[in-house]
Amino acid sequence: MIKIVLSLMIIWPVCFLGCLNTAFADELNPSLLVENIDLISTVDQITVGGNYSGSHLYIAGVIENTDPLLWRQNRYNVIVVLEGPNRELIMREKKRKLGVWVNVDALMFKRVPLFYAVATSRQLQDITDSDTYRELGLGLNYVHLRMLSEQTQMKELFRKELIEIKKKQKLYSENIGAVVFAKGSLFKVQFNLPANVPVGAYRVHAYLFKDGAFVKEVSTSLTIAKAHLAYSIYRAAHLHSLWYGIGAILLAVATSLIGQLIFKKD
Amino acid sequence: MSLDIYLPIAEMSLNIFLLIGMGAGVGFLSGMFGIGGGFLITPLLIFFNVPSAIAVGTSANQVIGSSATGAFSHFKRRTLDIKLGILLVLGGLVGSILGIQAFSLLRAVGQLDLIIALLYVLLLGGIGIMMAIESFRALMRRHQGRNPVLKRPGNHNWILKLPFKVRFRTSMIYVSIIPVLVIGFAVGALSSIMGIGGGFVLVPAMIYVLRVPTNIVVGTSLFQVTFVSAFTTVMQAITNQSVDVVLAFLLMVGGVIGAQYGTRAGRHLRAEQLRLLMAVLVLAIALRLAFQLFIKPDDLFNLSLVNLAP
Repeated sequence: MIKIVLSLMIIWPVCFLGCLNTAFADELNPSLLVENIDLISTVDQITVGGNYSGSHLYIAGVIENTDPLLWRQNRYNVIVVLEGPNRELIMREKKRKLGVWVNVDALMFKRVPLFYAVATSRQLQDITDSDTYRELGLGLNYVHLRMLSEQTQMKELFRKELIEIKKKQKLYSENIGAVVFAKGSLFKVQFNLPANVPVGAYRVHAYLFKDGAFVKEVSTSLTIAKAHLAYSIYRAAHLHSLWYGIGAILLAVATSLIGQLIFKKD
Repeated sequence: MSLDIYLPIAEMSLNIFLLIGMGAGVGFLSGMFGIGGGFLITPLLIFFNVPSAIAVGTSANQVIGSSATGAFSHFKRRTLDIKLGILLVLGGLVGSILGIQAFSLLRAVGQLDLIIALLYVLLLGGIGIMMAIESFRALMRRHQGRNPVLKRPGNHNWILKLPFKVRFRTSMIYVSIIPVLVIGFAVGALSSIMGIGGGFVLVPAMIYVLRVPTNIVVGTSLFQVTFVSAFTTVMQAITNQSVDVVLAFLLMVGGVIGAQYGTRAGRHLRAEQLRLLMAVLVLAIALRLAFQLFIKPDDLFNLSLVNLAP
């Protein structure tokens, strides 16, 4: 309290000299300041190395202008989302036709994230209410997934199934407690990137909640790349498919020739 | 250390020894029966949850190796009709192009897996039953003390009457190019949709329809299979990105080893016994594939990318 008074006293002459703007003084009063959240980005590209069992991504952020009382009572919460790259997906449902299981129904998803991981500082229901989650499109229950269909029932079913499949592949996840508050007003997040993490453009969104209410969202972008041999092969197959095909032929002939030479000797 | 190897195109991990072993097993059978083995590799890969498209594309790649070296040794022994082979290849290339188009179309509408499975059930089932009956009869005849009689090739008068006749000196036949191109075409289409070399269709067709002498048939068939499956591999790589070189390589390594032992084992068995064994194997695979079509799958829903952007 004394500190604030002192600083106000120092500011006084400045205000007299400059403007008599009351808002200026307000900004210096912590209880009236608006909280701010920011991500500290050190890199904009993550290269997943030769480790096929997956890797981790660490992200740090900072919360500013918090109310010390609420802060001490753990009334601030942070949710961080890592999502991307957006692609068109088609989902098909098998049904029995003439005794045979055949793909019958299909639904197209427009620009949905192939990877979607939510990290929170505590249980989702303890951070805010479902209306807020719905408004923000936040969490696996409310993530925006655009579908090209008019049938509400089918959309609901396919949406549920997409999330189930993605969860099984470890590409969609909710990680309760993965956001940890560190010294001061810093927070850090750990995301597990499975071996099958898709490469491409990602976005990191950080949401700040104060006492159950949504305060602010910030976001930054990030590229995930893979450096190992398997990915180089994948990239060659897609970018230089003609040469890849010719290489495949040569490899086949060479393997067979070498095999013949080895077995001729004995 | 994990023995699983990540297959970059199939985007899944499989045990490295399982793959080499699978290649060796199929190589053993191909050496024993004198077949390409593509029609065994594709269903086996599908059983291990490799996506059908990748199984077919990779199998076409795997077929090239053994048929190329086989064709080359027949070429050296002059048991290969180059002229006939080239015409069969021409038909095969057209068949392969159309087959790949059909493949992409089926993949886009989500019916590729079903059609591949159905084609395998029909083809393997049909051939398996025919072989089983034929070899069983031959065995019975031998059992009764009579010499096995080979069925004489049928008299296809209408084929001999077709126009555009060409003389093939090595094969010593004078035949219209129409059936030659049609046979090549059919094998090319099968190769691209099913990932098989097509030898087991080509060989009987050449013997019974074109009346090519048996000593020329195998070399010429291998010649056609080499070029058509090489072309199919490139087409699959360009159009569907469905060739997994890591998978193909491991299967080939196993195949090279297995084929050596298969050839030796084959010498100890009689032709009819071999054919009956082969028929049983082919029927078992057909049944297993058919079974998969009729039982309720674990995952009723499946997800795929619409455009495979890198």
